[in-house]
Amino acid sequence: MQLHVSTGDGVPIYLQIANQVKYLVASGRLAPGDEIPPIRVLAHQLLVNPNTVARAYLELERDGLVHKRHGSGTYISGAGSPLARKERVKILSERVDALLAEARHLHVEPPELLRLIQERSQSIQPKEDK
Amino acid sequence: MTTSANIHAVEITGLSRKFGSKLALNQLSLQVRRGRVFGLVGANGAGKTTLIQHLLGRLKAQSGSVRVFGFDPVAEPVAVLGRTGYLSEHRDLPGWMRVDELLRYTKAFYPQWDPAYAEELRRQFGLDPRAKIKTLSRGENAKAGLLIALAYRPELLLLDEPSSGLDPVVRRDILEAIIRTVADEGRTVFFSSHLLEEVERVADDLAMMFNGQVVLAGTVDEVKENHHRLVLRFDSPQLSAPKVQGVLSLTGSGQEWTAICNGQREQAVAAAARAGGRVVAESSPSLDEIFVAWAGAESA
Amino acid sequence: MHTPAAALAWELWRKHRTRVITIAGLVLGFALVYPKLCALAGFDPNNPGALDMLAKRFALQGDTGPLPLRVVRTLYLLFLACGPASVMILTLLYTAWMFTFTERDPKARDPMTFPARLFTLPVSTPFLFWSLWLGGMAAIAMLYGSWVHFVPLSRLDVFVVYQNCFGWMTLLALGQGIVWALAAWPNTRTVLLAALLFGFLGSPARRDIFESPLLLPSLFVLGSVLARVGLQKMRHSQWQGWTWKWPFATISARAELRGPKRFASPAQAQLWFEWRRFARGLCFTGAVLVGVPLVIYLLRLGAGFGPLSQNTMLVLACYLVAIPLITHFCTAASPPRTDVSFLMVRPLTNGQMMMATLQAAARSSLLSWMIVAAALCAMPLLGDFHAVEKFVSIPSPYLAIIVPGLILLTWRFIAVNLGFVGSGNRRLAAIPVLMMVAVYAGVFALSILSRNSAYWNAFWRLVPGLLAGLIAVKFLLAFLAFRLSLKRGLLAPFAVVAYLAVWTPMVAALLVPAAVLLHDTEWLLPSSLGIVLLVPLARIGFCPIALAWNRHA
Repeated sequence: MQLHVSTGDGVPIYLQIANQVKYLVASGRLAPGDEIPPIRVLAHQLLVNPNTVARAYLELERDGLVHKRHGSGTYISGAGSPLARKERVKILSERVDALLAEARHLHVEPPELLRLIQERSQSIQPKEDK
Repeated sequence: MTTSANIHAVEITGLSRKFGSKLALNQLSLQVRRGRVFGLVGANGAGKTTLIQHLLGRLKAQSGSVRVFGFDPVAEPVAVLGRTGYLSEHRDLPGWMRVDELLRYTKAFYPQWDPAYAEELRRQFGLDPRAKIKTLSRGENAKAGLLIALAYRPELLLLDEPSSGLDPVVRRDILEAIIRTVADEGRTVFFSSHLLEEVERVADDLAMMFNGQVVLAGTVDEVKENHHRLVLRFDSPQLSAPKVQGVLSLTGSGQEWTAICNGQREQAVAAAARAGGRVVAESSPSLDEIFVAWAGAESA
Repeated sequence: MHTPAAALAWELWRKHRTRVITIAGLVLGFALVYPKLCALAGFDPNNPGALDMLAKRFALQGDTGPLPLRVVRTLYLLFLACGPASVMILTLLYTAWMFTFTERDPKARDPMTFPARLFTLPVSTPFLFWSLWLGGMAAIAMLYGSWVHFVPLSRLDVFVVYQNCFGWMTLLALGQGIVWALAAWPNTRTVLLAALLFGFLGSPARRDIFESPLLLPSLFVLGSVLARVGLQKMRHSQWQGWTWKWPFATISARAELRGPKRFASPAQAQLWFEWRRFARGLCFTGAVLVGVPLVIYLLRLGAGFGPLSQNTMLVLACYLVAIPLITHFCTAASPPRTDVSFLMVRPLTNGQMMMATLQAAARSSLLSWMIVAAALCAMPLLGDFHAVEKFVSIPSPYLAIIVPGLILLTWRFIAVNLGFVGSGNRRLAAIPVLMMVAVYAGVFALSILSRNSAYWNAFWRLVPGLLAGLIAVKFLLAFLAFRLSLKRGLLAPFAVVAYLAVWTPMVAALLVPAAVLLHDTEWLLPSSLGIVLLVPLARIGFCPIALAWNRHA
């Protein structure tokens, strides 16, 4: 599991960790049943305070994204949880917002943009299928 | 030992210190809870080192009291220093010693010294036991100092500007040492720094010092969540920073200005409205921005 | 400061101004007061035989006076005879050192480091060399000139040879050469400087050197060239010294790899720390200072110059005996310690730190005197030592007091100054030097007192009372100091008992032979009281308190 913590912006580190795990789950890079690293290992890897990692895990657990198995570790919960879908939508909306702002700046109207998205989607389809 | 000493590793109440006519510490009070990583940030000359010197008993409190694990560091230096691992900002290890001699010498003072751990750290840091301290580079010197501060697993690890002037590799070693220390149950880390990135990464609690006083203290998350960055837009370009009550700092030019405020967000928005500005964007500031805002507010 | 040369001159002045002012004051003082003192004592500095004449007169007169009177008179006479000349030598030596432009580097613990920052300034090496070289020569010539012109230096045989300006300039050139060229070889540098000093000040062959038309100029040129090249090489870090491959290195490394040595206790570790920090170096310096002249004389003997004269033997013996005292006093009067912050955060009580220093000082005193004793034993190789023994003629029973007394005095220099130096306060650290000056002033005052025998006898009757009073004060202060240290927990009660247990035998070991030897003279009471006063007690008690000021400022 590769996470990256940056301290330049205002987002608290525990939120960054939680958001990135959510993103990894939503994008399918973490599958249900996968184990995520123990707190101390992740703290050491990211060079952050173990309490911060613990807080991120607690957040994830509260959201139902992960669950602790007694005495063995922390695992990603089963797929299809409503939250996973909600997360996906949330992540994508942020990207779409950014895209729209860029498009407006370049004087590209939304219908034209939609057409562009469809074109691109078709052109990258074969690669994704392989 | 009092119950308070069971909760707090360090307790400072009303500490003042004068050097000549210069007030270095002014009625400073501070508590550090056991088992936490405490980051002390402040500008150069804010009194961080003076504060740490008090914890070690190198300075005697002129007024107020200093307690480390419930002991007065001046009255009972052995009790305090025997529980404390200290890495000095000035690399002040005696240059004539060799690394192995330094280890042997330091070991004699601490019954709880762990030779296996010391050896492991020495290998990890890549220190040649036969090298003289004065031939070591700046980073190696810091590592040697860190090694003798860690090898007896002190209850309190006291680091004064641990990473100033060091390369990223050595800084990483130091951060790892802090994380490792706090991961062991019940041990406390107190470090001063002006690298806010480090503080944000490893500290649980944080205190900001300006002009010998703690102006802001709390957990790192609290501090970050309590501060708001508001982008204000004024109808007409402002030549100088407009007066807005309740914000720490206001920077920018022309029509758009960025305000940092602590806590009372609503009052700040209202004050901005009275000054003719409206909030166009809002986000949470980084610790760097918070620090700069407080530094500006304190020097004003 | 408009030119680099002016800036350099300003830096020299800024670093040495108090001492430069002192030197000027000394020249002026001697110029004004010394002729009058000589006239008072009936001493003619221009007469080469004045010392003998005066000694004869004092010897005749002295037989009538009490012994202390004779001692004081002799000291006064010595001051008149040697004072200006020896002060001139010291000031010229200081000036020569000043123009090597070196300073003490507390980090590298090197007393003579050429500041590397000069090499980062936009000045050429020839400019640096010529400004320091010419400036030094000019300063030496000026100082020498003012001594010779304003002060009637005694024309005694021993000192005439130093009245040679070119000789001093050669010393400066050689000194600069050695210091600059050997910057990367500190130990070789120390040995060569010691040899230079000794060769210049003490060699019996110096007359030949000074009068030879070839030797001095060639040494002058050699020193200057060495200095010029050395400065250039130092600037570009070219002569970097070499690392010796000691044959024992692998053996010692293997021995140490067998497993970490353990210190049995913190006190033992601290003793090792102090031993390595200063005591070992003291013994080493003593050994070098003792060894260099011995080796030079042995070589001279080997070259077929024949055994030494009795006079030279006597001077050499005095020099050897003075070494431990001088090295220990210089260490004791050193500036406040800078390596303390590492030490102060070790979990040690102040008492433990102090005890370790005292023990290390005791070891170095004993060892230094053993080295000196060995050197004295080797002296019969060089010439007729029996004649010297006969000349000094100390009855052997008296050695029972003198030898332990000297060892005690050596140790005491460190012990009594520990509080002053340990306090970390610059002004307090200067007290030992001031006390030395006060002792000399006291001797001077006594010598004036001794000119009137009525006053003198009255004073001599006062001495026992005075000493007894001092002892009472000493005990009172010691009691207060120890009580305060104990109350504040700076010192363990055990340490107090241990020190008192050492103090008592030390006093007894000196008192018993003194009582046996002096039982029927007027010396018994004052010397017994003096012994009790000499063994430090109050200041040892004060030491942990002073250390606490430094530790908990």
